[in-house]
Amino acid sequence: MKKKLDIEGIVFLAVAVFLITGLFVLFPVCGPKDDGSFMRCHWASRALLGSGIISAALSVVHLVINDVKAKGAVALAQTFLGIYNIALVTFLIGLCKMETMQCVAVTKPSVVVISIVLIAVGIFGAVRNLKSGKVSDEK
Amino acid sequence: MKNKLPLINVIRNPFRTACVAAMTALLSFSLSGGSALVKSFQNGLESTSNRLGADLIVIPEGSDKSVQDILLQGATGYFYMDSSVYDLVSHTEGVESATAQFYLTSLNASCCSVKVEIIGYDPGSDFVVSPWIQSQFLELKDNITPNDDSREIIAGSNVLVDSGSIELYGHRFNVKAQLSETGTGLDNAVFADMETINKLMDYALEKSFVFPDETKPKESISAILVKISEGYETDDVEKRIRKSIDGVDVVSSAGMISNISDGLSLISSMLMFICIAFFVISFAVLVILFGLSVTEREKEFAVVRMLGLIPGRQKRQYFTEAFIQSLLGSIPGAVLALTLVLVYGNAIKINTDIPYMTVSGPELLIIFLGTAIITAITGPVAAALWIGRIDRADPAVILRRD
Amino acid sequence: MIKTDDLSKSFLRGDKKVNAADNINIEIGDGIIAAFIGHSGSGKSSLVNMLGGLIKPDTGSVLIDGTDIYSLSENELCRFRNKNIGIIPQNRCDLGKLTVKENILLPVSFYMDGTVSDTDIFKRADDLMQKAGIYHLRDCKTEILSGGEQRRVSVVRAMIQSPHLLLADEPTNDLDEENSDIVIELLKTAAGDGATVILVTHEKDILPAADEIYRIEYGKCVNEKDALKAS
Repeated sequence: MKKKLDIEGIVFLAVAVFLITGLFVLFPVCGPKDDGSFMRCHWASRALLGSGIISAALSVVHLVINDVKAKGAVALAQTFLGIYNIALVTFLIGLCKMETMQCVAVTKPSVVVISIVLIAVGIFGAVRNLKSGKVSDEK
Repeated sequence: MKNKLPLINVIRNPFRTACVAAMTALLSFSLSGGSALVKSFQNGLESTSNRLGADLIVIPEGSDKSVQDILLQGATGYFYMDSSVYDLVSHTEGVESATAQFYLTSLNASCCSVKVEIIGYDPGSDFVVSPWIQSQFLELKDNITPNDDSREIIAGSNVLVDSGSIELYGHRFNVKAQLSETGTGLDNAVFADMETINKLMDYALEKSFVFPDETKPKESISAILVKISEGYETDDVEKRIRKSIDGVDVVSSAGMISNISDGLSLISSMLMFICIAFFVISFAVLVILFGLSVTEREKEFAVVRMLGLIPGRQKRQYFTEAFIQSLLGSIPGAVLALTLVLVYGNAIKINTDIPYMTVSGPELLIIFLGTAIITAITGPVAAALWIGRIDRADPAVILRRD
Repeated sequence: MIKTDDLSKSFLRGDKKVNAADNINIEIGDGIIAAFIGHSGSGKSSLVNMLGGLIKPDTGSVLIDGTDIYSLSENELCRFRNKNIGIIPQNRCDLGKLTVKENILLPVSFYMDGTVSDTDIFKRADDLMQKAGIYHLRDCKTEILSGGEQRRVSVVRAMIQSPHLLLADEPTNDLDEENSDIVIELLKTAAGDGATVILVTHEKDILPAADEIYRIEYGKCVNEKDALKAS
């Protein structure tokens, strides 16, 4: 039996990969201070990296499994990860205080935008799959 | 019973709808994003023009680039000339008033590796900073003396104020007030009177701050802001100052604004070019999409005509469909572009050489509504090019085809 | 009732001028099922299209219950056709993305003039769907239906507003016996409700269902019964 194209899974994976690579390439946080110590944003970035890796792993699970309810649960988990990412950069760990710092000007909005996409697709996927009467995702 | 055919066609032909929506989204994204960016830069330019205050700025020779960086881009820097230059400038023919400023930079702040520019000014002769501060707090006090205490300063909008104070050279200074955003480099500066500056100089020396060679800090100034008397040309006064005083450079505000304006024109032209390019591509694709759609739906139009829908209403349905499909793209496109411009405002500010002040709420709403509506009607306009095909759809002929 | 006065229409086929209708004068009363027969290309479908207001004749008139339909403006004719004429074309003519029920109710939704309440029209739709044996498919999109089911949808749609004239062009074409029987029964129901039913066919099996038979040949229309009497 043919499997339907799992657009949500692909989007989840793309978002996770984008977050992980972005933290290193596109929107990295501030570097270490002159004395070599790290600022708050460094630790927030490490936590985000962990979140991105978990998100990527969950995306693979979403792509591989057929069970519709399980997919819905994975989508819900992605939603929570998105909320967690936003919380990380706002109050859980937070970033530097000055608005002109790299982490505040670039990293924070990027993480927020990516997380909003994750949350939106997660909610959509969770509602669609958890309410579905189907058991399997196959055609 | 309402005729829901247009809505049904939009919802149950998702691929067709998505294609149209994607094109209008692209168009709306470029138009609204471009408009918001240009308006933000224009706001910055206007703010700069209002904030500069002076007609001319006299600085030590070779410091013209530095003073522009400080005033416009929030860079930090310091340069000095002997305070006697102030008397020479104020007595130059054509100078109505002059006020001196002293520039200093802080050490790296404790939380982050960003310095703060410290601008000392003379409240007695100042005509730039005080009116600006006054205009911010007119509602609170009639006569603000921002520096009653020589350990008080006024902070620009981007300066990080921690519990109502800021640390400079190891000493805490109360922040009397924090000014609202100007979009200029002055957002990254703090302002102090000369008495406070003298204290800061001592603290700086304690922290091994190195002033340039031969500088006697307490007998030096960094810049003289000049207001030209009426009837005199800025260029003439500038030439007079350069001729009569050695070792100085003169920068005109008009010149700085003009440079910014040129930069803004370039950005606006680029953005306009991008918008036009997107428009042409999107419109062309929309025309093709609607053309293909009309061909594919010939039978549908013929059936509807056969069932007795008058041609005018049939066309109205067709346009309604096109409009809904377009709107489904134009609104998200505009929302996305404006969200990105808002959230990345700081990033844009620190990465461009032009003053930048993010659009206000009402401006945002106008841009959103304007671009969403304009792009939403491109669909029906593209669809209109094929309206003749609907008219010519002869039910008798088409329904005989298999 | 439908009446034509010297109805004429010709077409150009290549260089040749072909008479689809040559001074046709017919009068068919209410509740009558009239079959139009003739060889391929004889002009049956063109005649039906003229009777339905879809092709304007070169000369002559078509009166439906006293209304000269070609004296109406284009908009008036469209409205008239919507309310008074039901057309079942030869080929498939449902809107595939709409459900069975939506297809059937489509012509009703064009003009909300309040002459019939929604409740009544929904009831009529349900009754006709039951008669046509497609009630269980009412929420299915017609694109997934079989040919016979789609034809039945077309017939019900044509009947939904109780038209005065029902035109069926080869309604049993390509249908099996069961579907053909259902379609004929529906046409009989329409005639029973007072409609003038005209069906174009080349299938001899369904002729017994017709009250009158007209032969179309070379643009001429002859009532077979009258022709028999004359001979």
